[in-house]
Amino acid sequence: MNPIEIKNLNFSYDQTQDVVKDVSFVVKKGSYTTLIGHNGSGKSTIAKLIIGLLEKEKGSILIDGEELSLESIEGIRRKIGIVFQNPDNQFIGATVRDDIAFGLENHQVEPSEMDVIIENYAREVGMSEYLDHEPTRLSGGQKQRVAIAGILSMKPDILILDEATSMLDPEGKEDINKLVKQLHKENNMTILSITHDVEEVLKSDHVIVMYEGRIVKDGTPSEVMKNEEELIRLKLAAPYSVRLANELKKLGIPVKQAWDMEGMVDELCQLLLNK
Amino acid sequence: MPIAFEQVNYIYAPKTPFEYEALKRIDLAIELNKITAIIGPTGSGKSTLVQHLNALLLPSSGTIYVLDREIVANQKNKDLKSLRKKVGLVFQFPEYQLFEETIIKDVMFGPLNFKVTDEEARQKAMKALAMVGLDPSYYERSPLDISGGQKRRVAIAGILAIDPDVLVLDEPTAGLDPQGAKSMMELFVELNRTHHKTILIVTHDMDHVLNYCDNVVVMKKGEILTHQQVNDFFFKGEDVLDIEMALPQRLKFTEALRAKGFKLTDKIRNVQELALSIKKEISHE
Repeated sequence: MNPIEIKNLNFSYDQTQDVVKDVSFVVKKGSYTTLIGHNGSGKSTIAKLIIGLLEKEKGSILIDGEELSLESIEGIRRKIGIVFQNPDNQFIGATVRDDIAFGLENHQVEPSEMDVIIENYAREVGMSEYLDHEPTRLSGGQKQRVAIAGILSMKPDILILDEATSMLDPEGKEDINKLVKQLHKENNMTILSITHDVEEVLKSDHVIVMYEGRIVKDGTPSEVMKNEEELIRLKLAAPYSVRLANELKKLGIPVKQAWDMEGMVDELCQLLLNK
Repeated sequence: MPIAFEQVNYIYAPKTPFEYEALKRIDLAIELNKITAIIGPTGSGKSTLVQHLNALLLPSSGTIYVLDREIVANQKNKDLKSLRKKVGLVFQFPEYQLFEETIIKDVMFGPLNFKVTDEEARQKAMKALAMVGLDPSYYERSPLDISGGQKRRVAIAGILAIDPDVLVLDEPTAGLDPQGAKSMMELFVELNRTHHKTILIVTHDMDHVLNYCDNVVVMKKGEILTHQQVNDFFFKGEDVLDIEMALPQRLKFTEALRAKGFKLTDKIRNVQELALSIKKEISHE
């Protein structure tokens, strides 16, 4: 059974123009799937449809094989954790500690266990020193770390990240990516990440590309990310490695492993040695 | 007068349990007519620093010089409006601050605050919208019905319409798609080169720092670690490796290749030059 299965989904905000057009895709159990596309392509709308913040017009959304409906939504939301791009809309607690506790309370975690969990996750996201601070006074990036800790502490079966790390510094982004990867492995968590980060896409198992409300590509990162002209047409950008490979090709040096920096560097070394 | 910070401290929520020193004795001079990037880990004080530039935050101690103004701690600072006409500040996620019924009205709101006529405000708004690449078909649409990237452009147009000399942007490209981010950065370069605006950009994107900015300020824990020309920062000295921030892609590749024995040209400015330099190595010897 697939954690997320979307079939022929349609949605419009104003009943005239569909922003999600006949979208179908599957997110496999335990996979790290990335969803990419230009701004306004419908990615975030899909995330909101999956957790029932928006109501679909046509099609179906199956979570662990169960159709999302008014009856099923409560149970389904227990399985899914979502982190949005802007942390300002996600705070409830008066302190960072209270805020992380809020989700755990809703999941009926024993109060005796709660402190340990909160401290663990605050440490993982680098916010231990701030447990007694007010969330509203934190910087944008710190707020986002707290929001991420709050969601991850509940260990959802399915984690949806809607550009959750776009406000973090490169190091912070790496910390969070590592933590997510670790949970992904340890708990076999299924991840659907909406992102503009090409590096993250290259490391995912599967990538889905949206363009003007439709799914236009669906495959492994190496399949999807290798064609620079096509990515530009889709208002995206190719990884630096692919761009470099194309320039090398023009100079008569063909490289095979164009989507991966390490592979490409090794390949170039071989060429250097064989000279 | 330039833009300068002299021994500036800023304390959030003083004399409460939440007291926190966000800026620590900052000394900093920003070059006019340049694009300066401000980088550093989350919570290092970047946003706090830039919010001092139009006196949105006032220093707890120290002095800030902005153009012909002086902002001193613990003094009544009069006529901040004239300062805010000269220094435009675009917040993180400015699109959440759009509120008017139509895009044109939203962009006119800024100029109207500075006592111009409706017609003048409209002219300024139209010019600003053209700068951010939104054509007249957008004027009468609701700012809430457009995509996130377009909203960001409307919000930036709202500040451009005031025609400030100094433009301060707090993570203007966060969440934009790669091409949207690129055209946004190109817009800032254009505003700098053609309209001679002084531009400060808080960013986490090291590729943007390398490709579009003149100077870079690195912050950590409320202090300035270093302030240098971008080229010196990336190509000379060790500071860039010390600050534990991810290198731009281009430098990652050149470093990885050099580590494996490639002798590459010193200053590689773009992907074409890198490819040429690699070819030289592989073809000769």
